[in-house]
Amino acid sequence: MRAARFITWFVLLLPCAAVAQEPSSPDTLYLPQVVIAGNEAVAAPYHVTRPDSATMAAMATRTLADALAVSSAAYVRSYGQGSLATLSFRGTGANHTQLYWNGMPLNSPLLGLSDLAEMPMAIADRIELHHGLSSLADGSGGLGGSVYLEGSAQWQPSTSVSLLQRVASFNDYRTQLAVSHGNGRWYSQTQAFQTTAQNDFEFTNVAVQNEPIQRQQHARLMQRGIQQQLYRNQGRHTFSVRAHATETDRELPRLITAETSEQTQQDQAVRALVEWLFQSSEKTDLRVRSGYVYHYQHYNDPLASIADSYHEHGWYSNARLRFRPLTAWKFQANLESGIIRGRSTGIGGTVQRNQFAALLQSQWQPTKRWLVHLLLRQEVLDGQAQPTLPSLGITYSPGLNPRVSFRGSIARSFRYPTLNDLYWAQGGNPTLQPERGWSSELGLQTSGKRKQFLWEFAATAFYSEIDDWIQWVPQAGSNLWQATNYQHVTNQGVETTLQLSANVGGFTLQSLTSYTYTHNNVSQPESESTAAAQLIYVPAHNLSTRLVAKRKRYAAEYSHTFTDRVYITTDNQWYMPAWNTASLHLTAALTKRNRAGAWYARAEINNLFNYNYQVLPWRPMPGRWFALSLQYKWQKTR
Amino acid sequence: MAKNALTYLLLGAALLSSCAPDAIGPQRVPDCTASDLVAADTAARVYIINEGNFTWGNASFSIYDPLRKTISNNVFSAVNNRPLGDVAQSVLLHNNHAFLVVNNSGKVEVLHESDLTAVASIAGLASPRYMVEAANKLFISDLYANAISVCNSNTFQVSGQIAVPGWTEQLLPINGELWCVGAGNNNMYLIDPVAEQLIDSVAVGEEPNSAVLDAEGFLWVLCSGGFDEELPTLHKIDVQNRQVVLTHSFAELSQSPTALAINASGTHLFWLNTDLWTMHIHDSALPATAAIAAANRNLYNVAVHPLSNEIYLTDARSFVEEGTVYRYAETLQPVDSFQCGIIPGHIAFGAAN
Repeated sequence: MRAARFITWFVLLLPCAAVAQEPSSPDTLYLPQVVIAGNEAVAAPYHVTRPDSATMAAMATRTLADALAVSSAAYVRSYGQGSLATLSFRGTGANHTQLYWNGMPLNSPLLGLSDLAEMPMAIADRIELHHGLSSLADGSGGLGGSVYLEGSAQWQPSTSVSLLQRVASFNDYRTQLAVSHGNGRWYSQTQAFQTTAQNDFEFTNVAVQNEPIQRQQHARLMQRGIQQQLYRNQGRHTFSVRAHATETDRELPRLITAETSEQTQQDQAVRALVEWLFQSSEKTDLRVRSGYVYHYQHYNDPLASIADSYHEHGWYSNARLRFRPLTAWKFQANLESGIIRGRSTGIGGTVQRNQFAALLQSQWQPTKRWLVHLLLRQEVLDGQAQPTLPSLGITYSPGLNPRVSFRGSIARSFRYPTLNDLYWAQGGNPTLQPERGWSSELGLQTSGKRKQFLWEFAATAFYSEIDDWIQWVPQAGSNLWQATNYQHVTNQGVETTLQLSANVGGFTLQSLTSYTYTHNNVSQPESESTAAAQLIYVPAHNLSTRLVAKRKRYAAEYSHTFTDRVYITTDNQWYMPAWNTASLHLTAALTKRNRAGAWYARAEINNLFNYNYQVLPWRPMPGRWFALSLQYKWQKTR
Repeated sequence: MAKNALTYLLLGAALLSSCAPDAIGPQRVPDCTASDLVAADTAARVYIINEGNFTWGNASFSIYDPLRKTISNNVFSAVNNRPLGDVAQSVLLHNNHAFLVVNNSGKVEVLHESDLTAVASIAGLASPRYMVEAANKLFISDLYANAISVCNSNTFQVSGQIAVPGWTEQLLPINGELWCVGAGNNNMYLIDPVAEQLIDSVAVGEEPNSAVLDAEGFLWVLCSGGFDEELPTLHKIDVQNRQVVLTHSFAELSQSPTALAINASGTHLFWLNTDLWTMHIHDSALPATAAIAAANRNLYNVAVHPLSNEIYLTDARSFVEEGTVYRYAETLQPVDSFQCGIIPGHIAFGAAN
């Protein structure tokens, strides 16, 4: 009965709120384990989400878009299986979410956004979602937030080889090989993967008379990539090289209102980084990074005689000095530089941007209960100093058992126009001003433990104002659309996370739920009907939840996401209906522990209830579909 | 215990799954229903094509009753229970049928004009733009096909193609021949609709976008000048000897005039150039002042009623919200305005059928 009562609580608390935090044991590739976060005495005054190792493991063969859709209540906007997918936080647009890989920005400097469907999970060992103003430590432009991907070394001497094969519905095959070796001084990790999929799922075409069942066509996907990480530890020095290259080749399917499509898109990306970390003393360390990012995209539509391509190059360097003169004081200073170059058919040439930034951070913990964090960011763009971006955050923790802390923060935010906004041949606007605004948040975080029951709850209320929001708008009397500093947007809402964990009757039960409520107010010149309307593609309510039951070598995981209706016109007259999706995953370690070689298996039922839904207009999503993965891992630890 | 746990889990999942909505795809609040359709006499109807956004599949079709001053939006999907498609371009009324040309869906929806139920769909078109009837056949211009498609007017099947280079727009049947706006190659093309052949062309200014026939049998062609490439021009063509007999040049490179229309008697031209402009066909110069100021509206198309001479101006607003249509009397006094679908563009009048 006790177990049943616990589970009842899990179910009842689902609509409330959650998210996992710190990673758990690194060698667990399949069986979910969740560890309640919060090792530090006082939590940082910002909202950060860290998908747990279970999510990372479950999604190891998927894209970043798939992983973030189930591990956060951020809004993932997908054009369909294998197609473009973007992420939005806190009622902002996809170009207000910045993506970083080991500190280097990956958002396209031309387009301003990242295609998360093109980012394999394999490129990161650790993921953090920095909500709202916490992204300012990574860089500017994250008015909604940022996604931070980082690689890391395993210094424990070991050798491992992992081979994974996944077979899924719609002729979806993925092969992934990872080899790593470390001896305490050296660590090398090599990964290679290839995915091919036909994505030829059946769907009910509600856009055609009599709603026939049709098969998705021209949706083939091929993606392959290789990643190498090499670390060298020499006393107080650590050197590392991290690089990966990916190639994605996609057929873009038709809208289901259209007869056919012959559109294709090819993407090639190379990202490489060298790093030197010098641990001068226990109180001081210096880290210097330098890297290069390249992205090429070619889009072809033979029916429309359109063939567009662009090349992007980015050279980035970053030096960070951390100094802790006293236990209660931490300082950090960063110097960052970047040269970005873009060439596209739409711009008709090559454009370049030079950027430089200085970042100062200080964290002061005067007592066990108080923490104050101050940040100042100064950027210089093409030789022009930009306004200083300050951020102030305070945490107060009145109780330690159960732990309770309150936090509040405020920051100034900026986003510079993209190179397309500025220089696109027909409609680019070189006189554009950056988007600018203020963000603030108030949060509550509490966690505790009672016998075998652990819980953690966090709630954050956010409010931000963004002025000069850039939008492409038609110019009166011509067919020309031009990038314009157009509207003033206010975002407000609540993010909540609830995480529960219990050991009952030999089962480990976990529940991770996150919920976001977002409300916009938009005002813009010369339009009465759109005043005070919700922005397009911003759902008011977003919920994701995961339930995990684990016993010995077996685990079952149910996940569910609910996305509220999103408006698709600025007057809020047209909308995409709310949609749900659920999945059930079963995992098993087929080999008993303590063996060097082990087999793991995973079975997935995705879209469990066979919902017929669309995220974007007339882009069908697959009904119930299945996947089976088998992994062999050999590991020897000295 | 395990059984209880499973029961609760399934109960929770069922609760969540019950939130699943029935509606799929873009919806409108509040939506139009079939019973909302105007009961207007088909001859009185004003048919308005709402283009919708490129690749959003939200094109729609509205019918306005000028007698009752009522508007019915989203008519196609209300009657036929499916969306119209992606980017509707134009409508042709012919032989008790309404032909809706849906550009990015590569099709033409054929409807009974009376009850607006779908009869057929002309498929296999690359990027259709405008449609016209000539020699008892239907001709369809195209953005990308480098051809004008020919269609059987009884079976609604594509029966052939006439090779015409580049992007083609409006088609005008004049004296048993077919004139076509060649937007891609800066020409007016002349087509023999019986032999289905391109027989001649007349060079005009940069990017011709629209044409009308005046009361004296001259063809007027409006050219936008492209994106600041050349001065926009308005040409007068003698269709008998196939020559440009008069050219008016606009004053500024940045101007982009579009949507040439003509009144019922064929004596006054209308077009958009931010504002609405008009001139008599005998005027020696372009007008110096606008007839109707845009006044913060994003004027997108103009049409003149063939009987009442009333002027219909469409306002596409921000392009990502529903637009408005303004109706003016011949004297340019406002008569009515009403909300339409997204990007109201081409207008056809039942009275012209």
